[in-house]
Amino acid sequence: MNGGVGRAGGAGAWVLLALGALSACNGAPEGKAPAHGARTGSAPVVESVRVATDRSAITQDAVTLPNGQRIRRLTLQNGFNHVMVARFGPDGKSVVSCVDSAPAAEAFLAGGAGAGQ
Amino acid sequence: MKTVRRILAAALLLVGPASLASATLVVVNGDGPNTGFNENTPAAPVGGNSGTTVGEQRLIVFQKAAAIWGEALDSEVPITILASWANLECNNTGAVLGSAGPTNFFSSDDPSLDGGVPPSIFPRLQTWYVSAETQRFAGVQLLPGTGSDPANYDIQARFNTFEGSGCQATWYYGLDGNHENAQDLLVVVLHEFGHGLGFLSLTSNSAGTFPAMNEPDIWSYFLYDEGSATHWKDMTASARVASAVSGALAWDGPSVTQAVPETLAFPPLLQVISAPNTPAVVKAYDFRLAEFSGPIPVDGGVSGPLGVGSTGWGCSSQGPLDPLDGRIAILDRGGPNDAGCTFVEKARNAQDAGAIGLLVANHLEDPPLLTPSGTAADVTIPVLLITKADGTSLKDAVAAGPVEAAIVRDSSQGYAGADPAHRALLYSPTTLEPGSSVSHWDRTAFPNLLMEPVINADQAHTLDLTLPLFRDIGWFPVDLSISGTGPSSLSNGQQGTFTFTVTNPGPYVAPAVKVTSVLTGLTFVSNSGDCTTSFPCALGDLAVGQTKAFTTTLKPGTSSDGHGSASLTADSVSATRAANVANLTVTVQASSGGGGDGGCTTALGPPAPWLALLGLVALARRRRS
Repeated sequence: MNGGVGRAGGAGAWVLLALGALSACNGAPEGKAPAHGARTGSAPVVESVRVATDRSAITQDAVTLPNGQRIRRLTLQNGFNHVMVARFGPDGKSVVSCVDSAPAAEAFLAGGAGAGQ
Repeated sequence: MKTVRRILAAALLLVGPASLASATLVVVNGDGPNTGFNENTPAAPVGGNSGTTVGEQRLIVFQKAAAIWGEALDSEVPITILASWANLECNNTGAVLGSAGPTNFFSSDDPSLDGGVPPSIFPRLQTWYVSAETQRFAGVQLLPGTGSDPANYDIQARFNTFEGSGCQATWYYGLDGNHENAQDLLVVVLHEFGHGLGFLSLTSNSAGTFPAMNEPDIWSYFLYDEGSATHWKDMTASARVASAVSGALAWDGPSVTQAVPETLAFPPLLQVISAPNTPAVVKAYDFRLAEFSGPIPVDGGVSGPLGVGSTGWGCSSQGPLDPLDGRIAILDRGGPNDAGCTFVEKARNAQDAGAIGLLVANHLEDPPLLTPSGTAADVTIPVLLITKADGTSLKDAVAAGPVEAAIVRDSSQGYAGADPAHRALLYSPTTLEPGSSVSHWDRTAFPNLLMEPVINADQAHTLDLTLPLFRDIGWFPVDLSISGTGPSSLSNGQQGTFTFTVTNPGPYVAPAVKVTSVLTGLTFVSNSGDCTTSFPCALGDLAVGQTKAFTTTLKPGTSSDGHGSASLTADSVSATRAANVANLTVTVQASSGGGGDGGCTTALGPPAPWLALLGLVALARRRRS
């Protein structure tokens, strides 16, 4: 993209357009995750974090403001995400942590084995 | 702008009003029929959430989080969030609760363009900012906020419906924090929105590199490596990688530093204060506070005699403990069989026996200490893990006679979660520990903070230190003006009295304003009025529209050549644009033996104002209505 953008006065119109499109927003942005059946262990959770925090698809372009100023943009459609992960203890109680990478998730999920008792 | 707000108000009636206060966060429902926000399963209103279906309750929680952020921020441009729900990973060991983040960052273009007209919208050039903040600078919407592409929104968020087989997680949709063992959705959404609004570093975890053009993000100006006393933007990539696991990373932003004393408390301290028969044990001890520990009161803490639990481990399978009324109990980690029992179980049993605190003695030497995990809202006593060696020593001491201990807060170590200079610490564990990257406060912070990596069970629905951090990164830049009057010439040995006023035109409160001076050919004599010290002089906070005045007495310096100048700068700890400091400069003719030396090319007229208010940077700002 390398074009102009609307003034704030256009924001309301954009939001109204969004409202009209809401019913067309079917499912999650990246498609709905499959049902997981009886999957167990931390590996599937870690893999989910890896996908959610992948930054390999960053793109760069420029945007021109109404006043003529050009600014640069980084876009990651998947989002520069942080992921909230829960770890369940033997008593069913959970500990929750926010991670931004698969290794961090793996360390967190493994931490429950010895730290709960 | 009113028109825009009216349109938005009408629009939000359809998607649900998030906030019409200082900023508007628009939660766009990205779910299909009868899923996520549209799930029609009936639900009883809970904890202040009046929704009557599961989907409606979810939306109300998101809107509440948006409203809390909206009341705290200030932007003319709506912040759009594409939110959806899905059956994400969840099994009997762990789960993804949800994720969120910004989809776009912006930075200024070629500096030669920024230096011209129009001036750059960015407070700092060639620096990456999240889109929500960039739009606040620009005053225009940069992303359409429509359609199914997450990149069209400032923030994308996706949360788990917990439908997986064996999934043990459930959400609490109440707004009152009474979530017991369920996940408090409001806290999680508040936290994740925080990342989306700018609470994150763009620096690569593994490589330490900046995302593009080798340009820093705004966080890199404030991430401060304690070991090298260097900010991340001035470090090499490899040095940043090392810094992220140094255990000594802090936020070096003036607003956060100013807020630390009023936000954080002193760290906990375990010490034996009396042991007549074994004086060697009278000292402070290393420990780790359990995740589920009851609070250690800010004033006073708990103190009492140590008491060793009658069953050793304190596991329920061993039967009840003998009474421990008013004592700080000592129990051993582990249990009577390989399965042992949990820290939580020990804590409950000690508490039931009347203990006012619990020390669990490690049964392993390596690692000597770790953080006892678990969740137990019913545990109200402090629970600490101590080393095996210390446990043995203390149990022996108790066998030899009375031992008095205390679990208190230690004012000698500074604030919990901050360094001695009041810089708040960021999470940079030296080993793989539960949690995430530098984009969180350190876990030692107390009281617990919203943006710590671990969501603590007692986390309130407040933004605590996050807002001062947003002030540091430029969400609330302030303007200040300074002007003054005084004599236009001074004779040698003559003192001149100059009057200055500093005004905050708004739209934000300017915290901790100070005035600094640069004098050339002049010597400082004294200040009076609102400026009670020499320079730099602290004026305190300036409310919107408030003016403070002070008088400065100066005299020609001994090395004056007939010229004198004074440049006074008013600044605030709040983020300011590079050119947002008001500077005043004047030339003073210092007569020499009754006449000037001709060094000044312009004769200054008598008693005319010699200081003029210089032009202020025109900020794209608005006053709160």
